Amino acid sequence: MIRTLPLALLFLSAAGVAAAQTQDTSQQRVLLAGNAPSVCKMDAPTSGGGGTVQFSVSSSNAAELNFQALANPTTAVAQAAQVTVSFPVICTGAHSLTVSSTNGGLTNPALPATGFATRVDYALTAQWAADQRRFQTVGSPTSLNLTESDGVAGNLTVAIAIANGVLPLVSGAYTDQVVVQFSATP
Amino acid sequence: MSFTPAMSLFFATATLATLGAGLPAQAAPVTLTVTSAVANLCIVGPAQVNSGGATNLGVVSGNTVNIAQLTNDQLTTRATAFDITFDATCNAAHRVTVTSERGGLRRDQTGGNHPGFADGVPYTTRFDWDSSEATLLAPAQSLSEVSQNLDIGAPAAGSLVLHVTIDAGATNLVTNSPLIAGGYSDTLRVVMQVQ
Repeated sequence: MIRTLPLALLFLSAAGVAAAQTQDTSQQRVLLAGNAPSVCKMDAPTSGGGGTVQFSVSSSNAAELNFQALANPTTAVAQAAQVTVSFPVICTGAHSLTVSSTNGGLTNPALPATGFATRVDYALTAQWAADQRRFQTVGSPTSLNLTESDGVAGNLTVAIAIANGVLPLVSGAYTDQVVVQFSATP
Repeated sequence: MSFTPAMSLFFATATLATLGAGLPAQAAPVTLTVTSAVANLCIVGPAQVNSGGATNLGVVSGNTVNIAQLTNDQLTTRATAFDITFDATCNAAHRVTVTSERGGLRRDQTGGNHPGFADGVPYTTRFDWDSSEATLLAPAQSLSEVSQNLDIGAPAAGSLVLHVTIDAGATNLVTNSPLIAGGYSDTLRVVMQVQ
């Protein structure tokens, strides 16, 4: 009996060590991560035209405004007209907008004739987010620029206004290209 | 060789037992009682991400699971699905708790005003364990954790499988809203605890 006491103490001690090494709660953690890139997406104009300006969309990145009454039918002088075109745009981060006129006005490639005009200038106003920019064509390529420091979703509106002219216009086709470009910025 | 004191005592005792008259032939039995106990135990092993059958799963590095492309061509959420498996054992009745620590997949950069944009992606995590299942919905509405419990009344061992699903167009704004640019993240925490 003298030897049983130290043996019993030994077993109890072993059980105590085992309990300290186990755990009744265990956990793991997993990080899920993704990235939404900074990009711009612009759809074809959804509205525009009206009055004597005919509007048509020819593809997802091209549309046409046709001023059907560019000149007064009795004087051949340019007559005032205005049209607004809306572009649905989403830029998910900082970005810039550039609107440019390739010809710097509606131009007729015909040779100029004394007392006649071959170009019809216009004012273009772009409204995007809370900002507005404007340019007036004067016969050479021109553009406006606008930057935003964060994402914006909405409609860019581009208003083109032609004022009454002075000289009669040489007959023929008058064209210009307005290029609207959004770019995500780093 | 010299005798130690202990050895001397042994020989003295043996001599008395051999020569003694009237002592029992057998010594009285000695009973040894051996006892022990098995403590409550739950163990969850490391995560194993299953690429087979996954949708839009990107690089998996350690305990980080990257979504290949969070957005689609419409700039809203792209559908994603993958499974995460944990080898696990609990030797008593227990509870499995799955927690989304950010309440959904949320944009890492907070603040700012972005009308028309979402800054969170809701997702669901169905978890299967011991022939039972539960589903955690992380709605990405607030930056606070959400949890789902699954109670099991007996010991169990096997694979705990988490099925993570992000629906196409799911956002914390209107469905199909564009996501504001940036990194998005959440941490899924799996806890198994003896009850």
